[in-house]
Amino acid sequence: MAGTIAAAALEAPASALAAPLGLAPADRRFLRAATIDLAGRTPLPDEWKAAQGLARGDWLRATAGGLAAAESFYEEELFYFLLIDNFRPSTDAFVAVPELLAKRGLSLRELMRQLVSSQFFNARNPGNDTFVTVVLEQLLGITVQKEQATLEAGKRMYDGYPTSFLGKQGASQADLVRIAVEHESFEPFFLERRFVALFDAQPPKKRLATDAARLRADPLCWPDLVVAWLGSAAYEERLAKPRAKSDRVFVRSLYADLLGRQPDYQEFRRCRNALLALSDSRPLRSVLIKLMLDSGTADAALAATGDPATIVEERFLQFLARPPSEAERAAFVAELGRGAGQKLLLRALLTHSEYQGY
Amino acid sequence: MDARGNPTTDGVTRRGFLKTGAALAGVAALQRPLLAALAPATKTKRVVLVLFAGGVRSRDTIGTPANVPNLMRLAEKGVVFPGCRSANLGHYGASLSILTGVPEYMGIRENSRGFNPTIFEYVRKELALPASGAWLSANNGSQSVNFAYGLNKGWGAPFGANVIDGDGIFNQEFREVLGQFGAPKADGTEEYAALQRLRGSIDGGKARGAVNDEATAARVEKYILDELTSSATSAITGPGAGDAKALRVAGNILQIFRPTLTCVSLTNADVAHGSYNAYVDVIKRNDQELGRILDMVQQDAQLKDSTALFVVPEFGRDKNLNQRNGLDHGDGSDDLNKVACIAWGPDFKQGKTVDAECDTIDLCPTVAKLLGVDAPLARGRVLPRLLG
Repeated sequence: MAGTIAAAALEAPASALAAPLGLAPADRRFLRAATIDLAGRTPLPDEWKAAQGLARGDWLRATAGGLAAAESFYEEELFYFLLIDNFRPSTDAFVAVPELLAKRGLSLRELMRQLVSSQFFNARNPGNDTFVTVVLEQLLGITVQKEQATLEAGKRMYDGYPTSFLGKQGASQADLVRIAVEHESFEPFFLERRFVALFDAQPPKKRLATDAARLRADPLCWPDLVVAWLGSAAYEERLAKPRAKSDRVFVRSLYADLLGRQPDYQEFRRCRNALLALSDSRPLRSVLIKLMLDSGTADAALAATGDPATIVEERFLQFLARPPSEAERAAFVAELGRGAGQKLLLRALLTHSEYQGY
Repeated sequence: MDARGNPTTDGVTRRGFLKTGAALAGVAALQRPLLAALAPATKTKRVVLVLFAGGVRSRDTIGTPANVPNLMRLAEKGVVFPGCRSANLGHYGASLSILTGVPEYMGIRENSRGFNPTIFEYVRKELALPASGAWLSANNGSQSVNFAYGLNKGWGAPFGANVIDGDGIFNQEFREVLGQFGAPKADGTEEYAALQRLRGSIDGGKARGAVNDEATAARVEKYILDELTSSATSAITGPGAGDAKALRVAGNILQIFRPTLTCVSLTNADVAHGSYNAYVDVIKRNDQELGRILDMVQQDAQLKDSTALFVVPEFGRDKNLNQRNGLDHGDGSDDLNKVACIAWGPDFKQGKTVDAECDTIDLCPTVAKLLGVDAPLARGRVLPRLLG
C-alpha cells in the first residue's frame, strides 16, 4: 500500500469535475475507472453513450446513487464476509437489498445488522468463538488476540448470558450484533477499508474522522461520501497509477466489453471460482477471452469499420483507454495487413497485462 | 503480536520481522557464490514434494503396505523416516509449515499468506528461475493460492509458485462455461505466432505483482487450453477426485514444464472425521495416482536419474476411532504427532530406515540444499542420513 493520501488532494475537487464528458482519452480513462470502482465493471455500451455530455460531477452523483452501484456495493460486502456460493443470502429480503440501497431505503448500519444476524452468516461462522471473532474483526477491526476479555464477553452474550460487551448490556446473539454495528468504531473501520480498496492508500486521519462522523449522523449518506472521494484531485492522480483488476472485476468487465451485458450470477460465479484456483489467474483469463471470442457471442464487439489505422486507434481507446503509440499502431496495422482478423487483434489487447489493470 | 495484532515470530514485530527477513535475504545473496562453491555436486535437478495431507497416520500407510503399494516402492528404494515429528497446527498451517520450514500458527479462518518465504521463493530467487520452474498442484480450495509466496519483502510474488487447484478448474462448473461458449479451439501455429507478435508490440501495463512474466503466462495459458481440450483430468470424478486431480495435474506439469520444484498438496483424507473406510479409500486412490507419477518419472530418460521425490503428511490422526467410526486429529498421540516421511532419489540411500529425530519442517531446508540453494529463514535442519 502506498502510504497515506494527502489531505489537500482529497479536499480539492478534480480539475475537470464541471467539464462535460466526451471521447477524449482522459474522459474514457475516468469513466472506465470510476465505473469499475462504483459498478464493479467497465461501462456497458448504453452507459458510455448516456455519459456523453454530462459533467463529471453530475455523472458521478447519478452513477453512485444508481442500481448498478448498489448491486456492486452489496456484492463486494458479501464477498468481504465470504457470504458466497452456498452461504450467499437467498431470501427475498436479501434479494431486494440492492434496490433498497439505491432508493436510500436501507442504511449501511441496518444492512450490516441484517447480514450479520442472518442464518447465512451464522452458518458461515458456526459456534460462539468463530462468530464473535469474525464480528469483532470484520465489523470493528478489533484483533481478538489483543482483546481476549472482549472476546470472552461476546461469547457469553452469544450463548445467552446477560453480559456487558463493548460497554453495553445484552443477552443474545442479536444483542451482540446490534451492539457491534452501533459501536463508535463501526463507521471509521468501514470507511477505512473502502477507502483503501479505492485508493490503495490510507485516508488522512482527520478526513476519516469527519466522514465517519457524517456517516454516523446520516447512515444513508454512503453514496455522497464516495462521490466526494471519486470527485477529488486525489482520485484524478490515482488514475495515473493503474491498479490490478480483481478476478471479480475482470469477469464482469469482460462480459461488458465483449458481450455488451452483465453476467448473471451463475455465469459470474462459475468464472470467478475457476479464476480463484490459480495463484496467477491471467492465463485462465486469457482462456476465457479466447472462449468468448471464438463462441460467436461477441460478434458485435468484433464488428469494425474503417481503415486499419482507425480501427487500431479505436480498439486501443476502447479497451485500454489510451491511443496507441506510433510503434503500436504500426505493428497492429502491419499484422492486419498480413491477414490477422479482429478476433486476433482483440485477443492480443485483452490478454495483455495492460487490460488487467485500470 | 504487532501493533495491528498480527502474529509475529518469537516476539519480533511483523515489521521488524520483515525488515530482518529482507536483511537476511541480502546476506543470502552475498553468500550465494560461497554456498555454490561449498554445495556438494548432486545428481538431483528436480524435486517433487508431495504433501500427502489431510491428516494421514503412518499405521494406515507404511504400517499397512497393502494400502499403499506405490509408496512402498518408493520406500524400498529410498529412505524412510518413520518418526518425523509434526504439529497439529490445522491443515493449512501445518502444510504451510512444510513449505516454509517454520511452524506456522495460522488463525481461525485464515485465508491469507504466511509471513515467511516458501521453498518456492528460495528456489526461484536463488536459481533465477521463471515461474514455470516452481509449481504447486493443490486441492486446498481458495487457500491454495496462499501457498504461492509469503509476505516477506525479501522474496514475495516475483518468486512465487504457479499454483493450480485442478479441481477448481477442471470440474463441472467450468464444463458449464465450456458448454455455454463452446469447447476451446487449439491455436494454429501461424495464428499463435501472430498473437505473440501483437502482444509483444504493446508497450504499457507491465504486470504488477504477478507471478508470471509475459512469456510464462503464455505457456501456462497454452497448458490450460491443452488440459481442457485433450486431457482426461476433467473426467476424474468420485470420492477423492480433488486429490486425484491434483496428482494428475502435477504429473502433467512435470512432463510439460519440467519444473525444478513441483509440490502437490492433498486434503481429501480429512474425510476421516466422518468415515474411516472412506479415508482409507482416499489413501489408496492417492497412492495409485502417486504410482502414475513414479512410473512416468522412471520411464522418462531426462527425469529418471535427476528427480527426487518426497512424500510426507502434514500430521497424522488420532489413535482411536471416534463415535462416527471416523478419525479426528487432536488427541496428542504419536499417531497424530509423528508421521512417516519417505525420500526417493538419485542422491539418496536405498532401502534405509532412519530412526533419528526429524521434523516435517526439515523438508524445506532439505529440498533447498538438494537444489543448491539456501533457506535462511527456515528453522528446520537438513534431514539426517539421507544422502548416499
